[in-house]
Amino acid sequence: MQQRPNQDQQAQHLFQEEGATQHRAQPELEASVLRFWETVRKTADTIVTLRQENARLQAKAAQQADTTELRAEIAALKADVMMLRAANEQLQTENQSLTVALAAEQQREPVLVESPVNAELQAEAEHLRVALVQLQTAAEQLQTENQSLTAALAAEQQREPVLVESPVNAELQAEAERLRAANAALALELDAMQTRLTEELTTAQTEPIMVESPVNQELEAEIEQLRADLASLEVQHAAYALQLKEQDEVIVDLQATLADQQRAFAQVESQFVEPVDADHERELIAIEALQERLRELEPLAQRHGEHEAAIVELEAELADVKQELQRAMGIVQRYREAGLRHIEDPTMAAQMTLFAPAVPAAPVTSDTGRASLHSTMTKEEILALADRLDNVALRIGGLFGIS
Amino acid sequence: MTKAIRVTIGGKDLTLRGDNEEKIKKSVREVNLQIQQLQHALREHSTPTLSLLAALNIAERYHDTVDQQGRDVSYVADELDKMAQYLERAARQPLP
Repeated sequence: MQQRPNQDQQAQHLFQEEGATQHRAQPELEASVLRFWETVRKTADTIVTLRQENARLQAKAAQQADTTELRAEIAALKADVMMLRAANEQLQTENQSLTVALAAEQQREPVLVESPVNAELQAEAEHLRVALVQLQTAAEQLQTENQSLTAALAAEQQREPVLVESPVNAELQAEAERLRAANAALALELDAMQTRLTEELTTAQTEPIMVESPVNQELEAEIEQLRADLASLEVQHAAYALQLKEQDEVIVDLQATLADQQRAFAQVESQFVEPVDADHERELIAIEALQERLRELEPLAQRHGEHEAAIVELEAELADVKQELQRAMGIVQRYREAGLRHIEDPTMAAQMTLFAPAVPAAPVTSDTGRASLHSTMTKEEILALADRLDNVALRIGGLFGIS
Repeated sequence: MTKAIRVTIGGKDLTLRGDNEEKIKKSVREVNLQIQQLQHALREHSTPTLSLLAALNIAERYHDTVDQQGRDVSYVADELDKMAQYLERAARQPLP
């Protein structure tokens, strides 16, 4: 080990880098911890955000505002759908009347049966009837859907007020307005078609139709026009059904959003309510322990009050004794200065002798003096005063070593 | 599975037994590196002395590493405590 000093120097030189980092953690570890701190801070921010979100959701749930808004939007949409379907019902009624009129027309014109042109007309009329029946079937289907939606909406509308501020609701209302306008146009077109058909039927009933007559040609053209109108109506009807379907999908989406929000609220609530309950339970236990401790301290407080009263009494007695001692010390001083051996209270002058035989000439020894004393103090007071003086004398004797 | 590994440490051939051959070879390289560095710095000393000094240097490095590990553990534990307190405050402090 004689080489140890050199080895020390060599070792220190070799491992100087390690020695330089002796008081700190490794830099890469510090960097990792700092990165983790960033994650922790972000997590804390997320926790605070979640807590704020939870508070907001709780407040919202307390007022049931979120549910109310969504249900109100759904109710408004369904009200629009109801209006559109009512318009559709009207169209269906008109279609039925047209169908009945066409059937009557067909029964009233046997003359036209023999004519090939009339056969064509009948075929066209039959085609129109079939198309109208299809339109009527679609209208009935829409009416059925209307009725089910109406029943559901009636309950919703009774529960929730309609909110018009929502952008989604506004958009849907605009869409509903557009559909209503389309329906109105459709109704007008159907009215015109009904009018034209009615006129044609009236004409057919009142005038015999010749096979080659210009009226037949007109009727054929009219039927062609009606067929075109019917095709247009079918297209519009399909568009109308598609829009209704889209509205139903929007309603379903809104209901799904409501369900998602309710699930998220329940999840967040379950995350925060349980810790709060645990804290509350711990606080209750702590409060109970403090109350138990308070009950234990109450007798001690009572005893403390008693002790304080006793201390006050002792202090009063001590002050009294000090006062008497001071007065006695005055007497002693006075008699010492006079060079006398006896100690006597100036207030009781010549009435007591404590350390020597009583002086016969003292005023207290005369009957007159005793009578005077008895006239001012009772016997008990005199005895008490004598006891106190004896005590004072004993204390003074103890103090000065007088026996 | 223990296997015999032939190595040369400080110019001396040895047969060692161990489970981790790679680890043993790395250790041998480290010892040889220490001895070579000491040979360059202390040419007048004998091989046994240089071996002792190399062993002392490696032991010192070992202790430094142990101390550093202790500091690292303490540092990480302190930081984790602070993080836990920070997160606890974030979860409990009154919301603005």
